[in-house]
This record gives sequence, C-alpha cells and structure tokens, in this order.
Amino acid sequence: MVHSLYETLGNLETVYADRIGIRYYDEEKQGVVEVPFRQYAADLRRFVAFLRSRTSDPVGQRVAILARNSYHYVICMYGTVLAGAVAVPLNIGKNWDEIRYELDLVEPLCVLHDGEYLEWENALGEVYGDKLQPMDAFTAFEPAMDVTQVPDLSAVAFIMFTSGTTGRSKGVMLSQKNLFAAMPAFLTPFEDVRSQTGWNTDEFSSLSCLPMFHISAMTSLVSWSVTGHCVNLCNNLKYFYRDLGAMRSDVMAVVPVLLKSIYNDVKKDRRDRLNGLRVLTCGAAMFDPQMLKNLMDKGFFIAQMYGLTETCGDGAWNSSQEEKYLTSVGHVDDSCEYKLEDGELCMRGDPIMLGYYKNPEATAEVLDKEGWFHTGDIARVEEDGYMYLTGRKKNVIILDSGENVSPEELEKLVGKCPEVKECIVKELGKKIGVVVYCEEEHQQAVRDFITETNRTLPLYKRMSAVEFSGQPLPRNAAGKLVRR
Amino acid sequence: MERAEIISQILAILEDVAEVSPEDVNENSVLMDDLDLSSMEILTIVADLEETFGLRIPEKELRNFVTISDLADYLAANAR
Repeated sequence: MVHSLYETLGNLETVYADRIGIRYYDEEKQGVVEVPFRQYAADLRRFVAFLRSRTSDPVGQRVAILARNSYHYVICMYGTVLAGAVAVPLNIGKNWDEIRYELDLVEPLCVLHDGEYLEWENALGEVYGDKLQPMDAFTAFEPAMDVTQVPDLSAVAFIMFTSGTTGRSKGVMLSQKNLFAAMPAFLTPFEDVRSQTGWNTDEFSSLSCLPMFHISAMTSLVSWSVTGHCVNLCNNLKYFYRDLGAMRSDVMAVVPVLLKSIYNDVKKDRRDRLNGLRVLTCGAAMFDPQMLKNLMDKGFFIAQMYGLTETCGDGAWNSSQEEKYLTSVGHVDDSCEYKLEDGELCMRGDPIMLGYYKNPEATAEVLDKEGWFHTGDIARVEEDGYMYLTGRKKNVIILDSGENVSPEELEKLVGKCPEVKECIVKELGKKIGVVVYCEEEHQQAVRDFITETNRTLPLYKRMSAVEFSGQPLPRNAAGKLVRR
Repeated sequence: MERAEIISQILAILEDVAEVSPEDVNENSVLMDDLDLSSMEILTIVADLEETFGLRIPEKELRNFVTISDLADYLAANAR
C-alpha cells in the first residue's frame, strides 16, 4: 500500500505504465481520448516544472483551480500536491462574492482556470488578472525528473471549501497523510463486490462525474489510480449519457438526482444506454430505500458510503445487499475510532482534517482537545454494528444533488425584498422551500422577487417552493425562528 | 423555426425526460417549481435540446432559464 502521491507516481511509471489511466470525451475531436498512466505521470511532472517556473519554492503555496472537470484539472490538482504546494479546487457554480472571499482567504500563488468563469464574471480578471493561468499551461514544459517526496506528509495539501451553517464557507485543510489514511475505506468495498458477485473487479473502470472540488471525486481519482484502475471522466453532467455511452464504465459514484435518472432508464427499459454500468456507490445525501431495492432487484450492486469533507470522505460503508440494511449507512471502518456523544457521531484518527484554514474558532467548535471530530450528524448503532443516521445538529439543507446549502444565506437574500416581514428557508418536500410572512396583497410581489433572485443563483441553490403565512413565524423561547 | 414548433419540441423532450404531460405545461411554467424538475433533469433536457436544435447552449445561459418561455426565447433567437 502506498502512502503518498509521490509513491503512487512511481507505480504509474512502472507497474501500471501501459494501462489506460484516464479516458475522456474530447469535444473538438468528437471522440474518446485515452491517456495511459505513463503519460498521466509525465504530465504530473510537467505540472511540477510549470509550478517551479512561477515560484522558486512551491512548498506550502496555494494554487487555486476554478474550472469545469477535465483531464487538465486532474493534472493541476495532483501536480500541485506533488510539488509540495496546496491545491484549492473551487466551486465554479458559486457567485463572485463567494469566490472572491475564498481566493482572498487563501492568497493563491496562481489561479488556474479554463475561461468559463471569466465569461460571466469579469471581476475575476480585474482582481486576479495577474495570477490567472490557463489550465493547460503545464503542457509547454518538459517533465521535471527530479521530483522528490514532499518534506512533510502531515502538512496541508488540499483546501476544500464546505458551506458553513452561518456566514462564510470554511476551508477544510487536508494532508496527504489524511488522504492515504482514508484510502482503505474506498478500496475495501471492491473486495465486497468481488466476493458477493464474482465479477472481475480487476477490469473495472469508473465513471467520474461529480465535480472535482467535491471530496468524493477528489478521493476516488486517487484511489482508482493507486490500484491502477481507469477513471472515465464525464466533464459535464449535461453529456452524461453521451459519455457513458462512449466509455463503458462498471462503477459510478452517484447522488440522488443521478440515481433517479438511472432508475428511470431501468424502469423504462432503456438500460442499453447505461452501457454495462452495474455498481453504484451512493453518497452525500439520503437515498430512497425503495429505489435502491428496485435497482438491486434489477442486478445492480449498491454500496452506500458515509463521509464528510472534514473526514476526507472516510466514515462508514454499506455493501450489504440485504433489504433489512437498506436504510443503514453501514459498518464503521477501522481507519478511525468512533463514539456517540449525546447521540452525535464523533470520529478520531488519521483521516480527520487538520482544521479549517485561518479559522481556529470554527475548528475548535468541531475538533475537541482529545482530537474527536464532531460530525454534526445524529446516529445510532445497532448491536449488529450497522449505523443509522437519524438527524442533524447543524442547520444545513442537504439536497438530492449532494450539495449542502445554508438556509441563513438564502434567508438574507429573500429578506432584501421590502414586502417580506419574516422568512425562513427549509426543506419542503425534497426541495429548498421558503416560508414568508407578508401581507396577502404582497404575495405576488414576493413570489416575483424570489423568481428574480433565483436567476442570480446556481441551479442547485434555487428556492423552488414558496409558502406564505398570514401571521408571524413561530419562534422559540429564546426568540429564534423555529426551523422544524 | 416557428415559436409554436419550438414549444412543442420542448414539451416532447420534457415528457420524455421527466414524464411531464404536455397538458400540464404552459409557457409560464417555472421549471423547478411548477414542473418539479431536478437540476439533473434540466441538464438532460438542455442536452436533448442541443441535439434537436443543433446548437451549443453555454453554461452561463443556463442560469437564465427559469420558465419554459425563457428556453423558447433562447432557442428562437439562436437556433439555425
């Protein structure tokens, strides 16, 4: 078992060199490009050479990535870490106010981008113009053949932003040590698939379509290369079916909206367009157990994963295909210690983050002195070891897209409408809903205001259900709005 | 292409992707609210529209699509 990206690089150049490591659909060529691990490794070395051209000492410097998924993204992210710098993958769906906050916070050496964000936010060029670099800048460099192990594997290697429950997002600091300590959680389920189905998992390839700023995509790109398996990149969900059709994939990590789409295909006898897909790893949100059961009955292998950005994706996994365990997130794994404190799941061990970047107060709220990370999830563990999530301590809406949304952030936006006296944002059905207290004759004006506000928001953050109240919203004894 | 034809193409794709009956849709239907479409369904619909109308819809336009009418306006202005 390898313990660092540098050790992995060695394998990519030797034992796995001739295997295909990455596939993707090239828009210009209108066809699939296959990248052998040898070339993948050479490109990583080229990226190190590029970064050295920007600074005499990359160690510890932040490199922001603001782009859609791509092969170059993979190289930029891991090349950065290989050079000893800190990769900061940003969510391209966020508005400029949020991106500016995150960039200012991390003070990047450079911002690698593909031009897309700049198209709708000129401000990026105005403020960070001198630091912007194209994603493919590395291709002009010769591979650096003198890459060595980074000085400290426990040092921060990634900063990944998660939505805060109040105010600004928080930058989760993860080290290579965190990442490789979590690796067994991603590799062991493979053995379960093999032992339960007899499928030859050595030949498996995976379709990666979740954004690379998401912990699940970030960790799986590493775990598949650690074992010499190929990852097929779906760089735009819009072309999910084209890409799946063009690149046969056995495994895919899904969020509920993707699972539903797949489920509909199975239901409508359109399974051919899934092109052999047969293992679905479900994570990031709650799934409909009946849908999981129906897919199992149709021959899919369903694995459920539980983890957080703060735990580097580690947590629990459930590869039981028994109906009675459908609603469980599974067994805890042995990369971490676990305990329940007042019902809240706490984890301790090597995969746990170093803390939130430049935010010791927020870090102290979740990481206690004994090193326990408080997940904010309320759980119970049955005698047979299976864990069930029963609630959340923190105020955050987790959507079927896997995105976490802070209700307070949206309440502030709706509160800007002069006719709104009070409002509260919460889950209504499976959607982001807003309950508004206003005069009855102002309801249409408020509705229009929310529709217009939605135009400024990325798709996943849009408030799609509006309810009105003719009286003040309920408050608790402390005067706070009652959320449930 | 006539606007009515564009709308009928949109409705056909909506029915195929999300099982929304054309009778339940009008130009002012809000995609995520009235029609209860997920973000994935909207993306799939956009991909199908691109294929049907032979164009590429840039990501920045996606934010502007709130109603069926928004989609039709864009296609009317940009489809060949």
